[in-house]
Amino acid sequence: MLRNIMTLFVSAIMIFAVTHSAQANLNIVATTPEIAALVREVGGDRVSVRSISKPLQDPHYVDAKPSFMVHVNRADALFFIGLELEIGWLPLLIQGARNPDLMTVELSRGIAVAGKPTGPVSRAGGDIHPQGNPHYWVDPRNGAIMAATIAETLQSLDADSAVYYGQRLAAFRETLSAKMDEWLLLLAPYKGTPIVDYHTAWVYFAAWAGLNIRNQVEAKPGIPPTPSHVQGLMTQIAQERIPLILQANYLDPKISDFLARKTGIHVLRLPATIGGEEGIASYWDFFDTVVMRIADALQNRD
Amino acid sequence: MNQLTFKVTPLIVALICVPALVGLAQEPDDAELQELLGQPAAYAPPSAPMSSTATGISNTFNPAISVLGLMLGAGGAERSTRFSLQEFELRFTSIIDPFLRADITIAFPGEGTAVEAENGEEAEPPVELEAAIITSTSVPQVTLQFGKYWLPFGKHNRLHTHQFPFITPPLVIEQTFGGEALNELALEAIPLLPTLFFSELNLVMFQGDNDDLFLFEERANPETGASETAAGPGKAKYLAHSKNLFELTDASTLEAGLSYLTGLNNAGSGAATTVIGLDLTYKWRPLFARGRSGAIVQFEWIDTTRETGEGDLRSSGYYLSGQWRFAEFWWGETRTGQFTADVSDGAGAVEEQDSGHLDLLVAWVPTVFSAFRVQVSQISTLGADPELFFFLQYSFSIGSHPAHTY
Repeated sequence: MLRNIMTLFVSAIMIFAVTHSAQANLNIVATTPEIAALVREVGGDRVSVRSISKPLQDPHYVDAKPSFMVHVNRADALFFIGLELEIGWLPLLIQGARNPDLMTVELSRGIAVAGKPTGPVSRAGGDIHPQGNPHYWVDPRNGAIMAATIAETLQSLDADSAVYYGQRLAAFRETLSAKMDEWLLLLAPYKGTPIVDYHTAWVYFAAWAGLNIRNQVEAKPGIPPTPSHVQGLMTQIAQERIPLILQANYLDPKISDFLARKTGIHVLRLPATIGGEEGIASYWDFFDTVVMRIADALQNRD
Repeated sequence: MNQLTFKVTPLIVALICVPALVGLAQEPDDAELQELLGQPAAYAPPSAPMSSTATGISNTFNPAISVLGLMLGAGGAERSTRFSLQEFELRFTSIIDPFLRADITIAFPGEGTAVEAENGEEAEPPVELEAAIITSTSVPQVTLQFGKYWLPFGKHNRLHTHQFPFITPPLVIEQTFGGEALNELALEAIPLLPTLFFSELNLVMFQGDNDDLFLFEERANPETGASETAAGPGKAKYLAHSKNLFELTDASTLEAGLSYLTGLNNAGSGAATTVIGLDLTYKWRPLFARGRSGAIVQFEWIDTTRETGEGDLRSSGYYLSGQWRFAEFWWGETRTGQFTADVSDGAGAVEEQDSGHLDLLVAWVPTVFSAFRVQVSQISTLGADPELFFFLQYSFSIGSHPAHTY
């Protein structure tokens, strides 16, 4: 019996060895669609990339499905947001992938992280991130930093294509610089406008765009708001004449819609990432859509 | 009370005053401090801890530690109701070195339930090493692990008590493997197969200490006269499990598993115990709404054959459960199960006896760290009349507990 088991085991390992070495292009796994989009921008047609979380899924709450382990098993590199965004599921995938050659790269490297708790941290504060707010990618300036980290990794894994990745990174940065000028121009009239964020997902975007986040619908991240918090928000919205709530489109709109009915505030349900709505297929599509929507909403306010 | 106050008060005064007096005696005046240190008196030395190189003390590599607690109230239509600390688990997890990681779980079983007490079940030891697993981290395509843990037979057997979907385990698990389930010293290889879908094998060699599978009764070895048990040199047992997961859609999966276990038991003359199992699990969890919605349907069937030298003893059973997250914090669950076993009277006569259960559960789960659950069960064991039981459980988790597998 034992001999049979060992024969099966050894045979299986032989098959794995053949299968694994048969990979040609760089095979990349990204934890989120926005990372996948950046990898496509930098890696072009020399990489294949797959995102684990889906566009309409909150990346905090992804199931560690074993089928994802298969993707990670066959990957050369895995890029992730970090700051404990994926802590509930990514360690299981890496552990279950049985791929010790996998290069795991946290893209928060070099990012000026916001929202690091200054006092004691406990779960009484909800789903807090002790290392800071992980929604940094919605600031396009951080997109440039992330792309540079991605390029560096691809170059180290595929030295023959180092020049190619370098050129694509330069082109990405050039386009981004021009696009940021356009986007900021559209948002310039609304600098300093007070807004409400549902989660803490638009903190980095607001910092870049000059919007002034006055409060969150969630009193504690990841926890539905209490009636007293909603009551306080209604008062604040009325007193400060706050015109807009920003909310990811995968979140339940019930509370925001209630606030809209009671105060007249406009609720803008935005795609949270690339693919979050039909027609948003690239990194550029995402920011074009988000910037345009916010500008339109603020232009049309009472 | 007065006596106590009398005794404690001087102690408190001493605790407050002595350090203060020592501090006063040692406090130099500003000029003296300046002269001593050559710096302004306002200067404060950096508060960084002394180097761990010098002290040998460092927290950097401490394992992740968590505590899981289960508090239980249980009773029955014809039983007394009793509240107990059902179980506390202390878990340590850490990377050992570049090649291995360790997961240690120490359990503090509680006082038992009214049901267990009235059934005359033995009290569990006060502290138990529930699991100690050493796992490879650097071997490609296969995970190697050894230690003591719940073996990968089917779905339910692998679960720690706090992971049970219902407060009580299914009868087929309890009756086949015993109250502690199949928890053994084992050596295991888990290759990931090169298929388009997820498919892994668990190939396990284990000690075989499980009384319910391998030990019919204590008996004297005819040669040595010593008491013979299932465990011993040359009596290792084997288990193979195949786990396969198919992604039906982005939100739903179907898992199919097959388990096979075999090993010599203590009936002698090459008599063996063989257990086969089949498990199917369908999960649906919509991507939107933070996954706070969904359903799970699970089926598990187990068939056991124990050769005795005087004919085989067979048992067979299943459970079928459905779990539905019907609101953000609420789960409704139901489960049914049957178990049929050949029971020997010790004099050669064998009688087939049936057991069955029907369970209904409602859970309020405000976060992944705590839950309140209420369960009503109708249970009949080995031909006895059905009885009604009630359970109320609170579970919590504190500390850094690794995420549970899918």
